[in-house]
Amino acid sequence: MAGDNPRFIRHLRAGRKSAFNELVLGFKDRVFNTAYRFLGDWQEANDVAREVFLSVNKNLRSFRAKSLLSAWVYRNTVNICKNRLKSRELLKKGAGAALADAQGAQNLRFRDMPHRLFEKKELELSVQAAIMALTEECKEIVLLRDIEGLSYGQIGEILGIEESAVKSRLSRARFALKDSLSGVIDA
Amino acid sequence: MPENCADINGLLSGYIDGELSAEETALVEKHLASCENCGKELKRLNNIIELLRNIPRYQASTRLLSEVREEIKKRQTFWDLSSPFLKWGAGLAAAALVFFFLKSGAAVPAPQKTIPPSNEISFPWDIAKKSQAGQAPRPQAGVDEHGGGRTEPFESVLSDKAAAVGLIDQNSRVSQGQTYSAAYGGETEVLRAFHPKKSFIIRSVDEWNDFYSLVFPGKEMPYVDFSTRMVIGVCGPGLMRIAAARAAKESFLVSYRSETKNSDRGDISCCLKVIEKTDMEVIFTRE
Repeated sequence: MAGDNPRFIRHLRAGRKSAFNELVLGFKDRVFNTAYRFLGDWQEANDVAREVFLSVNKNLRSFRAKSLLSAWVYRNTVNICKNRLKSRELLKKGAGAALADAQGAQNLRFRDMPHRLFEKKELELSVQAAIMALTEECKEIVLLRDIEGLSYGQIGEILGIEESAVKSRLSRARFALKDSLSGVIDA
Repeated sequence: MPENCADINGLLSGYIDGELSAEETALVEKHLASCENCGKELKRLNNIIELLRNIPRYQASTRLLSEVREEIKKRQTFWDLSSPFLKWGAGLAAAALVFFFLKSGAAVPAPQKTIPPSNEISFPWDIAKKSQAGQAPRPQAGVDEHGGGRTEPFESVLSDKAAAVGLIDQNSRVSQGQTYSAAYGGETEVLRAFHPKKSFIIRSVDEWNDFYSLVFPGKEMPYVDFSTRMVIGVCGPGLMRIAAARAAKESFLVSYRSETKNSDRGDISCCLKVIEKTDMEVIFTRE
């Protein structure tokens, strides 16, 4: 993965600003998309991205060069998202309700869209709602595999689990999505 | 080994990813050949994965990097040298010390260095002279009007002095497409990150510090007044020159060239120029 070059990591740990800038610019969209799909909230995803890079910056010196930098960044992202889910009101309110709010707002904004574009947006929202309804365990694995495109090995390193566990959790997550999106995929 | 539909379904996800053993794969394929329901399940799972892979990707806020940078600055500790608290503290302590000296009649030592005029870059010539022994002579730089050391005029060009201060490795020969790697050795990754387009603008002391500590590690950084000035630069094979830099109607135009005809054999050089600070878009054009 980009950014795992040992020389780049050395520069990063030595505190070179330009290396840190490159890290942020290289990972910011991946971190943002993971957080957005995890939390379903645009603003909060940006907050998470900021928090991830601040945490990375703070803990750079303790980063072990033998592990993958990309895995470390993703691990930070997933952990911060989980903490946010636990602490924020969304948990009390229920993910579905928050998403319904978001959907409502977005639908209003998108109501003047051309029909096909609207359908595409609607499909995206349906998929997002299905992701939000997954358990945390299933959600993180499906985001890392099917949206971020990481390998089983990389996911295992990020989540600290065996590849066999990645395989079984991913299977569970995909079947759960298949059930909740049956109306979309069978249509 | 599993042979009923429920067990086979448990293997379908791994089958799609190619993560099953040869034995499991054969078992799934054998079952799929005779089971229509499991075939449909496989198709649905594939559709789900396709949906997820095609879900739109968005870009994080364009201000994310600057926000992170600002936050890092804010979180710097009180004792950090760059902390404004400490700066104020140091300023107050210095003022108290001066007051004490004046009151007690002690002599206040004169400042050792004169800050060069803000529209010029002064170079660490002492370092340059030491390293320059045995190399081709370079044009003489002028002496600034303050007498505070040698400075380059407004048209400051670093490239012909770059070898003297270590920017150019005279022993390196680089081929096209590898320009930075051969010349900058260990700093390749960082420099590429800093100059992805080989032309750049430096608008702040922080960026200037980044640039300077990268190409001249450990050497004294020339003073540039970034409140009124900025630095433009180009790096590339051969002897790089900024031929012209001028404000046009809506943009600031910079043209540059390499003065070495066969750039394949040329060393890397970098040409810098201090210009009046401008908010106009700076357009670099190679002649």
